[in-house]
Amino acid sequence: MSAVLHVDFEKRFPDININADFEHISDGFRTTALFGPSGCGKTTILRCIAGLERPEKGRISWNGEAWSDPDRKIHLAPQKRRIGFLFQDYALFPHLSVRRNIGYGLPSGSSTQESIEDIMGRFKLTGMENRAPRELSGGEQQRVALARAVIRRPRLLLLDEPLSALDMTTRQMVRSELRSMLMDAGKPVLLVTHDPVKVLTLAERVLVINEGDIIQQGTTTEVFSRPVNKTVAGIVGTETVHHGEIISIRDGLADIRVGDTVVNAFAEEADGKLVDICIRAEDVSLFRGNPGRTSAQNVLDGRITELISEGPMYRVSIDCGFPLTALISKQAKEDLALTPGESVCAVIKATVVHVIPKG
Amino acid sequence: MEWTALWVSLRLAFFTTLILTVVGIPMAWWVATSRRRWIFIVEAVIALPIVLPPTVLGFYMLMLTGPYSPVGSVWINATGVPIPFTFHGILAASVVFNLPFAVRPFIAGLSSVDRRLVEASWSLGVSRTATFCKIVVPMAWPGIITGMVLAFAHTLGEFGVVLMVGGNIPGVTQTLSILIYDEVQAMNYADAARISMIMLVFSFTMLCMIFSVQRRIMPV
Repeated sequence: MSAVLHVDFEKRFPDININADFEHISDGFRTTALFGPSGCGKTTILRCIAGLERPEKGRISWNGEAWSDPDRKIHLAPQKRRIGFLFQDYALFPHLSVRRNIGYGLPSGSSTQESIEDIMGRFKLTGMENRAPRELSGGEQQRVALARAVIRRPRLLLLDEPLSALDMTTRQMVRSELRSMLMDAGKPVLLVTHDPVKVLTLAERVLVINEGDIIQQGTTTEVFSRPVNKTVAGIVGTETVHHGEIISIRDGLADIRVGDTVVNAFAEEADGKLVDICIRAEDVSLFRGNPGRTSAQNVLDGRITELISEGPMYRVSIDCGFPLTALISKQAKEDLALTPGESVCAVIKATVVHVIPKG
Repeated sequence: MEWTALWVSLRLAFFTTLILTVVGIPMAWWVATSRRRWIFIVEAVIALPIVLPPTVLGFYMLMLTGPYSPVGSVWINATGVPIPFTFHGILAASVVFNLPFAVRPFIAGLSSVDRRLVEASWSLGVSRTATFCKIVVPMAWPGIITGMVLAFAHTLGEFGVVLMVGGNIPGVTQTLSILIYDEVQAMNYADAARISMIMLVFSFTMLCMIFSVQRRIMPV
């Protein structure tokens, strides 16, 4: 039977009103990310679901059981919701050993001891039973925190900014480990993050939150490739967002004037309609000279204005009638001998240019 | 003579500390976590004995607990003994007078406990009371020890309020500090010097012991 978390509430603060309205339906492991800039209210939504904050209006329920309903004076204590909450800095009890952290609050007895042994084995913590949390690395601390939450067989796991307490290199290592541990636990997961990479690697669905409101929800691919407006495009990190005007449409393929050039994209809007176009940097290919015959509808000549190194990648800013960003490998940058001021040819398929109607 | 007075002082300090620990920790937790706007009034009332002359507090305690006062008459009907000029009387006065010395360090200790640890414990299904005992008290231990030491040491040195409420009855309300005053009044400077030295050495040794223990047990 699938489990349904139904959330529809309002929480007021002096400077922000938070409106959350969504459902999370799952048969076991399924992850939804609450994604948005810091201060947008996503952590508050998580805390309301956990019972650590009280909404002023609306309802939170789990399979029809009311967790929060201020109109009926219902507020189920966090202790009774049977959720696992993973705090941003893990909130491990510093005065208790790893074993006592994991077994915290469980009845003492041989079955508890057995399940502690079992989970410590599964989460690769064997041998660390008697260590204090401060003697653990960041990744180990996260495993202890997750083991502590999972051992109680919670109905739902809530993760507040997982991995953000780790440094860059550890984060990359622990990210895939976290996903496999979550799959292993087989529980529905809601996670809060401001990092698009975490959304893409950890979640199937995403709710984009801005200034307290959910402004788009859907599968991660859908939201990241088809943002409903410029704000979502900005939040999900679509590098090129530029306004344009549809000149003509033939068989669904539109000529759109963008800056000093014309871009081809699929659109359903009538002529003369103002739009925003969105192009993700990884969807842009670069050529020196003429690319020859290609199926791509957009072949734009331009000049490189800036090259920024990002680890193994280069972010290339191009002026091709409008500012365009491309993401290429370091190898490609060297092969093409790209430097600022050089002319270059940008090739973009019409299918990856996302058109958002204005207003 | 001085051993009797020392015994009164020690008993008074011990029971004052005990009562303040039992009553003061929940009170401090309430003040530390309350979001009510008027909580500063409670804090001011708790801190009042720091600035109030002991004689003022002693006077009010005497008025409040005298045999013809409501509190005093109920007590005398129930127990057959009055509050003033008894050990119970100076204990009550001492508890009120030492409230800030115990409760303020308790508040500081309890406020320093990371709220998230408390919330983590709740989320793990552990009740509020159990969370308080298993997480809050162990984490606030340095503040709690400090409050207990201060209450104990301060009670040993108490003079004004005990004299006002308890008078000077050897074996009952005569503490070491009152005995010293007595000896000085009687020009027995040699005795006063000896008792003062006992008190100085005793207080200093006790503080050294407790602070060294506190250093060793301080978590994290």
